[in-house]
Amino acid sequence: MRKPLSDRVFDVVNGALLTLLGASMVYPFLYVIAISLNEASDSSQGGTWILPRKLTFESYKIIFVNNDLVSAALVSVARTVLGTVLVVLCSAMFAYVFTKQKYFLYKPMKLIFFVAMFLGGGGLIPVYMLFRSLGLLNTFWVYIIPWMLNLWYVVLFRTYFMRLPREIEEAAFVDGASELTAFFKVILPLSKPIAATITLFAAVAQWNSWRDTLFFTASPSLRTLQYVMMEILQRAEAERMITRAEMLDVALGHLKLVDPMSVRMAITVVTTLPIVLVYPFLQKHFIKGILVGSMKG
Amino acid sequence: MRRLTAVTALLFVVAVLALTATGYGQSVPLSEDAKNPVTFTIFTTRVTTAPKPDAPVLKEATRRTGVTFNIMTGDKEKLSIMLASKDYPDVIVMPRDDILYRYLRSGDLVDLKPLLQKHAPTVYKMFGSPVNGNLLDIFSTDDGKLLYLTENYDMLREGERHPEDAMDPDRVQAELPWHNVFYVLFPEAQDVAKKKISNLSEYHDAVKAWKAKHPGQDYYAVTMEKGMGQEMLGSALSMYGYKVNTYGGIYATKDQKKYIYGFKAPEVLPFFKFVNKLYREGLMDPEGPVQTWDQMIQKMSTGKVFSFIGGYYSAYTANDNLLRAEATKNLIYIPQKLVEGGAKQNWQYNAAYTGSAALVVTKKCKDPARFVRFLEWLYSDEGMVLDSWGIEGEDYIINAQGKRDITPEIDQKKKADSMYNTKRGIKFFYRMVNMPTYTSDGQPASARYAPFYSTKAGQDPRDVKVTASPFNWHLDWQGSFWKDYAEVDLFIEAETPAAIAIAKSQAILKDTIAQMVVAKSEAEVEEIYSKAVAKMEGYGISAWEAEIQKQILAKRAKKS
Repeated sequence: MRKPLSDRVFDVVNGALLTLLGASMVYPFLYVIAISLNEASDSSQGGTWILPRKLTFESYKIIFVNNDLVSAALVSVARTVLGTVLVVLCSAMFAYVFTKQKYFLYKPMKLIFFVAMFLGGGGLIPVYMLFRSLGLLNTFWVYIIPWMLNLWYVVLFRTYFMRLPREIEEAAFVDGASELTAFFKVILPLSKPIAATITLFAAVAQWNSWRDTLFFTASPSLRTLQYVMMEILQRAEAERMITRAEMLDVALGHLKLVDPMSVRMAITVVTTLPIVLVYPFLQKHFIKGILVGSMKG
Repeated sequence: MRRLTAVTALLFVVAVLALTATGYGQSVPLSEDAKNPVTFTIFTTRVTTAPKPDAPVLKEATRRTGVTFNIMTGDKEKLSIMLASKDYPDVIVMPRDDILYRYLRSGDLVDLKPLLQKHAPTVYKMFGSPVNGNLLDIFSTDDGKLLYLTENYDMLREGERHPEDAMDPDRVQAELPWHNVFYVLFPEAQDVAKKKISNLSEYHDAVKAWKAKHPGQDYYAVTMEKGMGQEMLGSALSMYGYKVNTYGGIYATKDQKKYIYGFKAPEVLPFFKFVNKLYREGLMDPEGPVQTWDQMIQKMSTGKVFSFIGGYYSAYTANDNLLRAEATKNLIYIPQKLVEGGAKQNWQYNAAYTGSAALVVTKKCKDPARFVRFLEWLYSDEGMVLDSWGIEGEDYIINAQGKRDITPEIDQKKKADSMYNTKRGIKFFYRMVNMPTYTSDGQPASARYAPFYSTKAGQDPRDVKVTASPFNWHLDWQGSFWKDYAEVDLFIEAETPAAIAIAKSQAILKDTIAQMVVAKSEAEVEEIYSKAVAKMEGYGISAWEAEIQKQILAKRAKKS
């Protein structure tokens, strides 16, 4: 049956508006990619909108031969992979225990949990001093250990676990499974939606994080890609006072006050692309999982 | 009895010799130090990209002195964390602002004066020399301690003169002006102005003539960016004969007695009425007051912008981009010295400026004497040349006249890779602490003054043409430097009424200037300006002015 005219008009207008909205969101990415693939000196003159005017991969070459950037990329990948796996695992395990109301430590755990949730953190300096006393400062583990347990993820997992039919778990116990076996072989496989959701959250958080690099590390070998990008982009906006040595080097053409636009855009692409590529694969789980996790347990 | 006296005397001589050999009571010879490797951690906010420990120059310095530096770079926030947690590296290079003064009050810094006196007599002498302004006195605390060293100032010995002596009234200035000025595109300026632009009226005629020649939509007679307000303000004040310094905000004076917040100078309103007029006549880039610096540079790099009012930062970046494109490689932004309002003098730069960073040694440093001995080595010919020139045969050569020099190939390497110096470790220490200007043989300690750069091959070809033209600006700022140590290194404690006032006034300044530029009439410019000044007064900007003035006059009185 043909749709009424009003419906068809609505569809057209709706489609047009959503297309415009979508285009406004996609265009900045296209712009950044176009600049990154354009020759540096040509980019500095502007006028590149969607397609590169002088196509070149020079900016990417500069990035990938730069050992500092490669090292930063490896650190970012390592912390994302390891950090994500551990936070998902630890949060899930903690949440599972937290579903056992008959557990003798349940009430104290609940109290600590809520206190930590609402009053946790303590401020930058106490955290810094804690990390120092734990020997985490200026080590790779400062990216991993403090973030192994996230209380919000625990809430999400717990809510999801509590909605699973108890009979499935009990059937596993009847078959002789231990708590650990039941968790890994029954509960976790059934929790793919919420696990995927939290994997995405955790991966994005780990990948995008740079403040922990800023505050808790000092060694150049521990820099992450986001931190390097932040430095490079900040250099373009930094205060314009420079030293006499730098001024004289600039006058001689030995020092650029700012990295070429195309290199900055290339770094932006390299930094955001991994997460953008991962997201579509987890999207179907994400929507399901976030809805489930948001319900009261 | 005689025998006893002789034995005693002999024993005494032996003891003295033994003690001398062990270095007790004297500084340790370099050859001894080099056998005892030590590593110092150094944290700096001064550079965002530090050389790696295996950078050739640093490696060579380690081989010669036994000192290795574990270099860490970071943000100013990290300094606050370190201070609060007392978790310090051995050496820190930090901004000379509120954070430094918190460190000075912490009691966690080493007094460098006795160490310099004992272990680095050359450094001590140069820092204390009247030729260099007696920096030991200037930067000592009230109780006579020297808790930090400064940078960005080339040190001289008695009888020496800087190759670019700022106080030389005949100075031919090679680098772009240090202060903010009006820049125009050359040789376009030659077509529309015929001679150097010397006042606002000529400037207006020139930009108007240029726009008439280039009526196209993407040709802009004048451009700016949204954060450029303070630069335009500085350019104006200088044009009207003010001496301009910046600490938090611009403080300006004409008579060195009364210092005012730059925005409150009576000439500011007429100046921004002029800029507004440029906008209303279509001569100012309509996007100027709202665009980013990147967008402004992009436009300037096309060669389709005639002028901007601002600083060397923008000029150098745009000039570099212009040179790289075939269509624009002959264009260059050059400064013009405008004088207005009957000003007898155009002031450029307070040559007493001793940088904006401080080098401190913390009490966590296990061997501060060793670090100070390293500074003494840095002040030796060997140290200076290694730090500022690099390694002979790789970073510089000895030319036919027996002088240190750069070859075209080395120059090209540096131009092609802006990280060359960082990768090699060149000038790392120059960015941290004052260094001498000359080695003991009278040659410049810095590669900047290599003979190559006096040849045509070492110069920007566009600048060669400018120098040969009526628009040669390199002589225009002769006599425009002054030297007043009292006007620099001021300190306003954070969270005081003065500090709050300047922070709020600076925020108002940024928006106000953009609003004045795009105002619909002169009357509106006046209204915007009056409201802004009233707001600033309401926030207590006069307290900031008073504090600045008090400090300057007190320092002047102390010196006399």
